[in-house]
Amino acid sequence: MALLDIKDLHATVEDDTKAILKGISLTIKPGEVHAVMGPNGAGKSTLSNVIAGRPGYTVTGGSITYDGQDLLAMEADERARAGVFLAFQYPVEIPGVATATFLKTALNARRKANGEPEIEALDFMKMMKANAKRLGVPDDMLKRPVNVGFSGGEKKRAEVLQMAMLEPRLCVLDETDSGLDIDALKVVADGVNALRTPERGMLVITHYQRLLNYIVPDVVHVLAGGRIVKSGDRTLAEELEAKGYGAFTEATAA
Amino acid sequence: MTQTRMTDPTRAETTTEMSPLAPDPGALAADEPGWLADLRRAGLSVYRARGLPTVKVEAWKYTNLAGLKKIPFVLDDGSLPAAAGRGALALALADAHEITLVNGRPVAVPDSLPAGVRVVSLAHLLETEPAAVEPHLGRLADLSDAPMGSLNAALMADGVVIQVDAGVALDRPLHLVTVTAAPDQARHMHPRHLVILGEGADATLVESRVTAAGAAETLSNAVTEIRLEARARLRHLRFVNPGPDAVDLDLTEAVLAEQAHYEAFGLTLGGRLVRNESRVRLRGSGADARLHGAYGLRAGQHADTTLIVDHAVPDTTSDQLYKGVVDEGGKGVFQGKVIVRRDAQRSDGNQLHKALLLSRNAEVYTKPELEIYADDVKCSHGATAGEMDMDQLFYLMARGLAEADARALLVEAFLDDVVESVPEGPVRDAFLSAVRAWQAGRHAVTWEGSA
Ligand SMILES: Nc1ncnc2c1ncn2[C@@H]1O[C@H](COP(=O)(O)OP(=O)(O)OP(=O)(O)O)[C@@H](O)[C@H]1O
Ligand SMILES: [Mg+2]
Repeated sequence: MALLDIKDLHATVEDDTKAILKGISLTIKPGEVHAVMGPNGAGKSTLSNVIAGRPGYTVTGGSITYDGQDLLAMEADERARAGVFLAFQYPVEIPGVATATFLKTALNARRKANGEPEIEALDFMKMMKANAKRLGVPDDMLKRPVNVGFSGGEKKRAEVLQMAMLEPRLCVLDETDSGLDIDALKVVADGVNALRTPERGMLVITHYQRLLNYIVPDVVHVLAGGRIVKSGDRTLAEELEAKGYGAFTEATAA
Repeated sequence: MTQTRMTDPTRAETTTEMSPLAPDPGALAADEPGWLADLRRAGLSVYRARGLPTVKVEAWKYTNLAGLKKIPFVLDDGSLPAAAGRGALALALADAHEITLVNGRPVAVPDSLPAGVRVVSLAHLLETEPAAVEPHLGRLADLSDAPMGSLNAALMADGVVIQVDAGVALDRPLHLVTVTAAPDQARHMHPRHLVILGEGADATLVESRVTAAGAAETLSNAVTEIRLEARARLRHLRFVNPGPDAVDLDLTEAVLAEQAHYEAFGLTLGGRLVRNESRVRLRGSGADARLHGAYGLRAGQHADTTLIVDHAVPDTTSDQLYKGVVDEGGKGVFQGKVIVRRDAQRSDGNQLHKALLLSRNAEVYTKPELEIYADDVKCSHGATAGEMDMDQLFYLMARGLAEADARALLVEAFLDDVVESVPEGPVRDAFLSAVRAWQAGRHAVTWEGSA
């Protein structure tokens, strides 16, 4: 069974009839990594937001099935507890909530939904420290409020730290590489690769082929003008890098 | 139970109309020192002239006391037994010198205080040693424009006098637990406190304002006068959590000498109608005042924070920072004023008020005022009032938090942000857990309400 099955998805921004997603279809099987590339404004973040259940969008057609369930019928928090994780393109600052506290609250929400007991404080600390170390997140950042005053790159690392802690089944990474320096890119990619398992699926949105040298995708899609205009293997990313999007978007311009 | 007023009905006509609660001048306490009698008479005449403040009075524009006229209050006569007790809702501070007051009268004072620290009943001191009080009482606060403060002067019966000698640092916080109680019928009371810190003295004064269980309406109209001599430092941390039938008016006036520090924090979560008015006079260079606080209000609650900081001399600093969360049917008021006198150059005064409105039927009124007569100053003010941030809410939900839990976390975070300006320690912890409890209760009420 597919982990994520998107069929002919159409979506608009609420209070607007302008279509942003105009019939997206894509299927991610467990264990697969799909990359999505495409020009600014193509609808990549819209797609990831619709998957995560962000308010403000209206799905006007099509379906999303996640692990056999109708994802669109679920609230954002239910989706998250069912294992859907979105690493935000623009992580949100939450003053007054310490990162560590937040991580623990989120982890326990997930565990509760699975009928598991709350995590022991000591186990949590160990797990957090190990993950933080692996992702190069300094301890003092964990004490600071979520994303407040984090640099662009620090925010992206923190997103991947959250992902590692929550162990989702479907990881959607929206430009997690943007804002990362070259060394950080490698560290974060290693962190993401560590999460590659036969059960887990990933949708990796990026503008740069460089990331895909580290996180090697099984499938690459080109999203332009709200449609997937081409899909292929990893060589498609190299082709894009060489030719640019023009060759793909002109062919489909309405 | 009888609800008879203890006043002559013919006289009640006139007094109730304009200035209810006021006694007949002839009924003021007799056999008191002349200066005290003068103080009372002056207070009474201001109150009678101005009457119960109405919304037409600028300083009371958003806080309406008219409803008080309908409540058959009697003046508290000190007859309640001490057992009226410590309110369960007071802050739980194990390691503090605790002083319990019932209706403004000390009923339990700490038996062992460090040398150089004195905590006594005002009534007792007025009786035994009036000369010790005379230089301060009514001389620190200028109440000529404050009708309720003036009424306090006319009717004050008791309170605490706290004196810390020069150079003495208190080992533990003083915790004033002020309980209002009215088991039989509605009572009004006028507590009066004096806090004097000598040169270089250092103290933490915590107040828990609570109400005994099962009380009828209470009206507490307190005045606190504070004098901080050079280099003295007072942390004044207040928890205003009286019962749902309590009206709690407080006027605090602090006068600071050079290099003195007044660090106030007020957390208001209870009461039907609360007004916390602080007036701080920076009279010595290097004096610094920090007036921070938070409030959380639900249906039927009104809380007014009125702050005035007067930079009277050069090189003084102040910072006002308040955050409030107002739920359906609650009303918050913030009036903050910074005055910088003509020669108070190089003053630095900041003010910020932020309100989080949880419903369309939540109200907040903000009135910032800067009165600046000097030219070389740094002053800033800002105010925001808005609903919950939807991006933050989604972010939390996208990590698996149920909507109600995510909202609760954001409300707490909003308040914690300012509560964390209280120095680390048991009082801050107690404030944080009070915010948790308030939030949990708010949640429960909302949930029941919608069921
Ligand atoms: N809330 C909104 N209101 C109006 N238009 C919106 C809204 N959200 C997205 N759009 C529009 O939808 C289109 C797709 O936006 P989206 O953010 O999905 O693009 P993207 O592919 O992620 O771009 P980028 O590479 O720059 O991140 C854009 O034209 C954008 O302006
Ligand atoms: Mg985007």
